Amino acid sequence: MSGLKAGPAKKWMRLRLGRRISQVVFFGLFLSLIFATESLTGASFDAGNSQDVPWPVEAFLDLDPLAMITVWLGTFSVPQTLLWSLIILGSAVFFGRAFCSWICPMGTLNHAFSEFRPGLSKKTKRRRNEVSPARKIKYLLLLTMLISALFGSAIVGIFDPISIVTRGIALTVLPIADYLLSGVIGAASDSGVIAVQHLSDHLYESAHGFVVHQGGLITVGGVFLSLFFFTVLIANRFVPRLWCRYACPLGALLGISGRFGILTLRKDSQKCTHCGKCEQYCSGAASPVPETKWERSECDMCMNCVSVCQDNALSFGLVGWKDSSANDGPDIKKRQLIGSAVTGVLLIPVIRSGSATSPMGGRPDPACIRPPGAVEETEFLKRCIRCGQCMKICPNNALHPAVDEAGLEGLWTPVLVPKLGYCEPTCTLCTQVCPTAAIRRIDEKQKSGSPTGTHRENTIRLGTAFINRGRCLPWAMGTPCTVCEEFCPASPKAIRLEEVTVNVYGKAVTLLRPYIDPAHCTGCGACEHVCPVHDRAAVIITSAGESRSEKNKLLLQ
Amino acid sequence: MSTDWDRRQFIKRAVIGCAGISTVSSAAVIARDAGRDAPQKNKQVRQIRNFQVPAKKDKGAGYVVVSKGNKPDLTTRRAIDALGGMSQFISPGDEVVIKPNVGWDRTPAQAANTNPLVVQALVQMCFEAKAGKVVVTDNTCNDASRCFTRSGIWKMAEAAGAEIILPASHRFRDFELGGVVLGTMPVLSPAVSGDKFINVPIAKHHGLSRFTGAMKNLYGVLGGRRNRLHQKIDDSIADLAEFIRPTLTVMDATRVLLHNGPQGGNLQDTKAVGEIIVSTDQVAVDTYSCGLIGVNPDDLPYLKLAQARGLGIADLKKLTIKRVS
Repeated sequence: MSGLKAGPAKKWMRLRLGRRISQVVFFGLFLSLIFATESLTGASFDAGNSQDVPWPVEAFLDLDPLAMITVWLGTFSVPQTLLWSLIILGSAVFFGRAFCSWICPMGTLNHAFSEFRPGLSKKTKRRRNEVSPARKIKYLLLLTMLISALFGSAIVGIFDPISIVTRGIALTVLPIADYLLSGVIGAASDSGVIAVQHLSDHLYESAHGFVVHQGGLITVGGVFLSLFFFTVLIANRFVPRLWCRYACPLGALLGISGRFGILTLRKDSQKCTHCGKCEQYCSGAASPVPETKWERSECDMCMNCVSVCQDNALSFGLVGWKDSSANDGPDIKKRQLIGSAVTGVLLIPVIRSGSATSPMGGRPDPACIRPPGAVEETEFLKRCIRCGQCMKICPNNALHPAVDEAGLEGLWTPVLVPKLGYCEPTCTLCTQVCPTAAIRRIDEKQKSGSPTGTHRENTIRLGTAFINRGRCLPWAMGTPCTVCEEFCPASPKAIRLEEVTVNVYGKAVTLLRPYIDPAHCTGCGACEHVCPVHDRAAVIITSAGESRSEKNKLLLQ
Repeated sequence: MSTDWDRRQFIKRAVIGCAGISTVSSAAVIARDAGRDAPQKNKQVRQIRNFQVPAKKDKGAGYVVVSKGNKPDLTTRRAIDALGGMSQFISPGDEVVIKPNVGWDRTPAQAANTNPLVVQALVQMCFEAKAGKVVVTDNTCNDASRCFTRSGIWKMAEAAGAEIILPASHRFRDFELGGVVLGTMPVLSPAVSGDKFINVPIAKHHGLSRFTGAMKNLYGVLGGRRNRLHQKIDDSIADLAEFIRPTLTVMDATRVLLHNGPQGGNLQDTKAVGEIIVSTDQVAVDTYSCGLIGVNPDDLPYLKLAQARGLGIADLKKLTIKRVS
């Protein structure tokens, strides 16, 4: 307590407090940016507002050096916004993995999920924070992923922490919150008590357009995504920050970059009384105990060890202190390196076999309908890091994480699922938030919903509608229906009606039968979405004729 | 915390716990079912919504005011004034529901939605007639928040003091429409819970019904699987017009949609007409307005069906048309 000389220096405790504040602030900022996508409509907007996203909602992904390097290795170019990540990469040269426990929202979540284990003994806590050979895994994974990037795949997005946490919150936590909230509001509305109904209505009003993800459907792809996300979180209960320590490829990248960092942990073994507190609280399992070698590339600069050391035996200082002794990285065997490299070389060709991008001549998948502005598929897979921003911002809940629509490699990349939602003809939101330019920024005029409406050469098509005459009411059942034509946003309509008089059980019935005009169809999926044949629509969209692909062309001209 | 219960204690606590949980949940279920039973008791009763008021200077069915001008808001005002003024229809303290067509994610110039200035003028006039509350609502076809935003109606109506209510699943209640084809349907409850109802459609082309105007605009209070209604569209429209008898119908024909309806998208599909048509007779409004997009009212079966049910006048020759400008 006060008055005693012994005890941790105030300076370090302040820095630890600073780290905690930084985590809260950055995580709050991260959530705000996710929520920001819900407030693009309302009374403050003028008629015909072109719906520009006013905030850089993908900012945390722009800061991700792993995304930047992956895109660069795949395409030898870097989107301008990703250059922000050089700040993080640059700071890693000085401060090592400080990003992990000061800024990274996934790190903050893992940190929080690791805390509050009052039942554990000091000894157990220490044991859980011992340096583990498993820390190698992340470096090997990084190597595999970088080589995959060179072979044209941004599959690293499955493991990238910023991607994990963005899609985890946006595509899992928020839909679940929506589901629970609608359950509560639905029950309150059914209660028949007016005061309760009013209260729930107000609750809905304040939650909607703020937290709740519109629609909030979780698809099969979303279920796997959800399981993965929650597994990462729950793993922290067994080993603190398990993902960060052993699996995170971004952590590995920053660890390597911090090899020549200017900061080092000074250990004074003379003062140390071997209480073990430093290791008990070490979030990176970086071996802070004096007389052991500090693991430079494991340390995430959380400032716990220096803050809890009662003996003033630990401090951070500039490199060059006589007492400094650090390990620059785990002892990775040569054959392990070769193994990862070979995996990286083989991974992409193997998982691509049979898919559209297979080098052995694959065919496009009918259900692989990409968002408007998406680049050609092989190029797309070089860039898409599966962050889920496009799926989150889609106002119609039309974009969903793929399961196998884009081959195994395309897991969790965005596909349009017209059954769940269609591509709004005037909307360009998804094209504004893609951090890696897998979806290029497009103009409203490039879609069918432009003010002049008419089809032009450069109109973006996602695919083409096909009528299943065996299921269509006017075609198969002599029953009037024009819902697909009514909803078709193209002008002139891509669904044409022709009047026929047919004989239904001896009775003459006059009907309007729909035909697709492929020259005007943009594949938005509105027809499939609204078709009254509800289970499997009588008009469906497939990727055929998508404008981004040469391979998947439909019409001559 | 000690957890060293013996088996007896554990069983005792478990039984008490389960009993507690089941009591609470059965109470909740009973409470819920009590709420659900209410509409079922009325199952046989048609839940008709008649918002018509006996106007002091009643001009009767078939009386239509057509106001012409360049400014949608002023044209609307003149039309209402020519019909006797808003205070003829709105009593002080009334909750007024205004139901424009906000079906599509389109801009005002594309003439797929009601002009926001017309809606704004009506909100203002309701408040001038001392309405207590004005609600603007519609169950849109495209995403509701985009439709309300990009149509300009959200901003304009809220600026005039109206409350915007977007459709949401908990805002629908099952109603017994008791029509020829429409039985029990989920209805956007705030749309039919007011004291007065002003229908504010826009005159548009429609591939199936040929013309969509006042009566067809009432689709916007329905929820659920309304995409099946097209299978018997004329009966459906007549059923709707019988379900809701608006206080007033204000047709926005300042700019109409001639082709590729009902959502258009192309400015070449639209035509500036500059008319606002007002009546207490929704059938008469449609009978007059379909001509503006070149449709003969005799070719619209739903108008005849509505007339046969005594909902209004569907014969152009029998209309009394008062023109103001």
